[in-house]
Amino acid sequence: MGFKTLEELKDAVYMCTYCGTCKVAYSYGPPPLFAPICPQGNTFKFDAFLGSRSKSAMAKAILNKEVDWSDTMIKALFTCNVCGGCEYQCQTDFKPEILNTIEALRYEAVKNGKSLKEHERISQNVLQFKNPYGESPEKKEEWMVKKADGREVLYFVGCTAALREPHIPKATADVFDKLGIEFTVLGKDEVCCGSPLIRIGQWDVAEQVMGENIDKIKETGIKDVVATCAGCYKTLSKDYASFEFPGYDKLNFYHITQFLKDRLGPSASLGMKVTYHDPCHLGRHAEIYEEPREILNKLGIELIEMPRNRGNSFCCGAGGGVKGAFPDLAIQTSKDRVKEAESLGVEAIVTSCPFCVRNLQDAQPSIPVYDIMELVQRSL
Amino acid sequence: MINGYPLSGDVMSWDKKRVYRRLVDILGDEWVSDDEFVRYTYSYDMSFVDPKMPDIIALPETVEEIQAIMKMANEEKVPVIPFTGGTNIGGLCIPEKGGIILDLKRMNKIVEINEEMRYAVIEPGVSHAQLADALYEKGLRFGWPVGPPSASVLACAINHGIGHLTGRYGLNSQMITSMEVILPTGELVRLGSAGITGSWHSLYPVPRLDGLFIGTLGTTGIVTKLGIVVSGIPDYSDVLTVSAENVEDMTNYMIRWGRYEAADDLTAVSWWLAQIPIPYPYKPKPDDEPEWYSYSVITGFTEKELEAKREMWEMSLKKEQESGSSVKEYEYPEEAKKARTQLPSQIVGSTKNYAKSAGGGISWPGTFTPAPKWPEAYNRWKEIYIRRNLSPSVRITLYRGTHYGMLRAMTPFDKRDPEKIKNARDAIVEALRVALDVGGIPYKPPLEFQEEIYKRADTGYVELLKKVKDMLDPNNIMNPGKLLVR
Ligand SMILES: Cc1cc2nc3c(=O)[nH]c(=O)nc-3n(C[C@H](O)[C@H](O)[C@H](O)COP(=O)(O)OP(=O)(O)OC[C@H]3O[C@@H](n4cnc5c(N)ncnc54)[C@H](O)[C@@H]3O)c2cc1C
Ligand code: SF4
Ligand code: SF4
Repeated sequence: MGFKTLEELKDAVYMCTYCGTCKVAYSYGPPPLFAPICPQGNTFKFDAFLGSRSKSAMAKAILNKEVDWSDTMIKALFTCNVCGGCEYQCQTDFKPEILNTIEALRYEAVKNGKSLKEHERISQNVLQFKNPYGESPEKKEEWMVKKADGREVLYFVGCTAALREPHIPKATADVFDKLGIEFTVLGKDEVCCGSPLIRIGQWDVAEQVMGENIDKIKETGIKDVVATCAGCYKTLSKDYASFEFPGYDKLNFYHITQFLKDRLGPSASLGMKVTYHDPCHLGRHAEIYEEPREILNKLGIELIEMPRNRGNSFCCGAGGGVKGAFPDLAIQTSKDRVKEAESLGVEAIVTSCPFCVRNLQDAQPSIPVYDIMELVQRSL
Repeated sequence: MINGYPLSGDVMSWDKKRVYRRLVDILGDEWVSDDEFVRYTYSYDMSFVDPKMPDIIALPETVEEIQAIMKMANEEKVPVIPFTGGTNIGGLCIPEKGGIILDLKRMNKIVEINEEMRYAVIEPGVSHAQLADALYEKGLRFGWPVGPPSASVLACAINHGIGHLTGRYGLNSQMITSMEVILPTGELVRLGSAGITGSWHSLYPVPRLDGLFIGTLGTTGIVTKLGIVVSGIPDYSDVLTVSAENVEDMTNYMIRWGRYEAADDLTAVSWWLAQIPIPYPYKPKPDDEPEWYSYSVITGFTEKELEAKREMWEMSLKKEQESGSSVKEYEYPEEAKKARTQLPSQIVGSTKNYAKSAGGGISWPGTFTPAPKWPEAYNRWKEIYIRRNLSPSVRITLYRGTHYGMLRAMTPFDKRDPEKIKNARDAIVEALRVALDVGGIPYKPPLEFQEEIYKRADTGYVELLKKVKDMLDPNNIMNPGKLLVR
């Protein structure tokens, strides 16, 4: 149990036939869809950077000791967004282990002293401050306008929302209040969920914070945990599940869109025309595609889909530790995504992840980027 | 020595640092790499062909850049290997003598889609997925292989690739209308109508010099633009499926029905290829299941056209049955039907149906073989494959409804075990000899196949091939060793 090491993934890696289907997004349709899907491959072009094919090659090279770690190899490994766009295309038995293989490769690189200094800082920050941003834990409560000590649900706010996008937890708290949902938060005691650490191969620190979080959650005695951050949700509901934390199986984890879908009644129509960006952690990694769309529908919002939607969604560019270590690449990718949205003639881009909100905004779009909770708040 | 012809020279020696610098001068350092891991990713493919490292990878974007590279490569006498997706299943992009891999994925423009005249002009990096998407918007289609959607349309066509319209139009190489090619010495040439008037509609009525660059596995030039015939998507279609107890009955049915040239695709597969995935290692077929299954895709622009085709098929089937054949209508499983008709397909493209759990390896004895000889070849292949614990997962497809077509065995194997790689390679080469015995010829042949070809080839043919190669590529820098004669 726990994270799978590269050695444990060897058989899966050898299921890759090197066919290259993971290089582009394609579906038969009709009409057919063709589009670039790999943000790093889109930029660097060499096959060593493109899709999961390149990651199976890297795994083989390392497992068989055929190639030494080089700067280029480290770049090929760490400019990957771990977005799963490639995984979605693959149909072989490598598919279920593709993201695990990328993360295991990163762990292997870290073990070999090849971690990036920006990533080490994230790890140190989490150890010292319990969040990757190096902010004091008290700051995690600054968004709160009043105490939240309900017993119904525990709102797991997440570091990015609490420290960088406070309008999201503010909107969420307001929505909970308006719907009469009694909630509480861990506040300054909330520890990084571990998502960034797992993605960048800093597993030792990740395991530590995961355990801490589960203990803190259990101490509240609340069973239903709701996250607005796609990364927190994916990590709490999927990554934690592979560890045998005592009492974990008694907890229920929800993304806010799952949680609210049936709790929202018909509302006053917002009368907007928007597009929706599927966050990788929520869509491909957790297969939550329809809930946010159903909520937008309830808000009377007209949804125009981008060509790359749902499983073929194009990453915003932030994930996998890329925003921390390669900020220009992260923006370049989000500019690509923003362009796709802008070409639809919509009023706004809506998503359901604070990290996506942030990175899409950093691309300076001509239209606003909203977290879905801001629109829910507006409708109530 | 192969059939009295010496293999060409030793591994070429050249100044790697200088060549790298000159490539950077042409392309900028962003698009050139000699990093070991980058080279590693271009050193192998899914086939049994042994991996070999290239020295440098370069990603040109323009015709001028490639011309400059070829001129430089001639001065430096460094091998150049054109590469698009590397999915040819024959190790054709694995460098025999090191050198530069020219990865052409940045040249991915669809230059023109001429709806009125129904041709398209594409660059090498245009994938099946990309072209399918662009053509569909205009109600057009091309012959899509059952391969990866991300692979190159151009590389498929210039290597006698096979698409899902071969029953109707023949090979994808028969759909070529014009060509732009950079010679190994760097000159730019346009062939067909494009070379005379600038219009890309036809290879006729001028001498067919395009043949110098087709089926030559990237050893005679770099094709930078290709004109291809595209056709309208018919409004009506149907898939007609039958089974037969044996290959003889299936072949006879296909020959009879094929003569109407009515099906877009007329293919049959053995029980083992009909399984998803192919059983690996071999497992026996249950006695109560037929050994052969066929699907014919018929299409029409009117219901009447479709109906007329169906009538011809019914007639053919009836006649076969009257002659005592075991062929009969058979309902195909939905996934199998989809995988063979909804093309390009990620399912077959990512080899799920073929190799899902085998261990990463796929190769084939892939041949163009006279249809009446399919039964003899298949029965001998079956013996070879079963003896080697491999499934005889064989496909036969009629080209243009006529007298010959594909005979191939999709062969998954486990790349974790060198013995299993060898076992597959030996089975495939043994099967290939059988195909050659009955008049078949391998396509996209790895070196192991070419050795067998040249053991039997007409001396005059081989001498001419050598002369042509020497004339076009005096320093033997283009994918050297891959055509074996040089
Ligand atoms: C599961 C599976 C099924 C397949 N089924 C089919 C099928 O049904 N029909 C079929 O035809 N193929 C099939 N293929 C083979 C292959 O996928 C296609 O032919 C594909 O289109 C080849 O494109 P590529 O980009 O991979 O070519 P590559 O492998 O990169 O190149 C093929 C050859 O062309 C040369 N080359 C590439 N570009 C140029 C250029 N611009 N100028 C000169 N030479 C060049 C290369 O040096 C090499 O010798 C299949 C493959 C797989 C894995
Ligand atoms: S990861 Fe999957 S789709 Fe990509 S090359 Fe490997 S098997 Fe093919
Ligand atoms: S996970 Fe995303 S960035 Fe990484 S290889 Fe796959 S598609 Fe590319």
